[in-house]
Amino acid sequence: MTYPQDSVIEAIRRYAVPVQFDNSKSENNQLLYRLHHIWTPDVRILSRDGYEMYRWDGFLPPDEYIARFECGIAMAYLRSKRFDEAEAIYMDVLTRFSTTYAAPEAQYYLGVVRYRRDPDSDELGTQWENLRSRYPASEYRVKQSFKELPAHI
Amino acid sequence: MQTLSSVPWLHDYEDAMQQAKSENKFVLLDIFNPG
Repeated sequence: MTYPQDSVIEAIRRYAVPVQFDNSKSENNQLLYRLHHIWTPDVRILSRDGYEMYRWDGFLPPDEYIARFECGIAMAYLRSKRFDEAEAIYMDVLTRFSTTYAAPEAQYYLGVVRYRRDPDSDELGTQWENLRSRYPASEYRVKQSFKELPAHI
Repeated sequence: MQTLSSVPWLHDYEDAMQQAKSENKFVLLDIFNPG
């Protein structure tokens, strides 16, 4: 399983305070209703004031879990305008977990991070070109595909 | 090699929020079914 793996534990401890709820216990019903919970595992990254910054449902094996978790933490940093932290984590996903399903998301948002930090840079185009070459069949390639349309359209 | 043993799960929402504030971290919330 995923959570007993040392690599998963290390990633969680580095970035987050973990809290867990059993959906079969009635004492948790009020919280689960408030969270609009519907399926397990239901995993969310929350800000310190309780705002949901990222979420996913469903089991993931260890490497896929770490990559998805790191994309979640990176997004939480990005939404917090903490661009340097977000960049470092997206880079880690692309370095250590480049073949995971989360990797195209890291490639896409690496460009976004660098663009949001410095709108005058050409990093959005550069990273999205990397996305097209490295992950041509990904959903995130589609999300940037307006860049591939002819200029006159 | 040192074994980290387990994720240090909390089971109280407000406790997790307070700890996240004190440690300057985010909260990882996991809802599971034991079956």
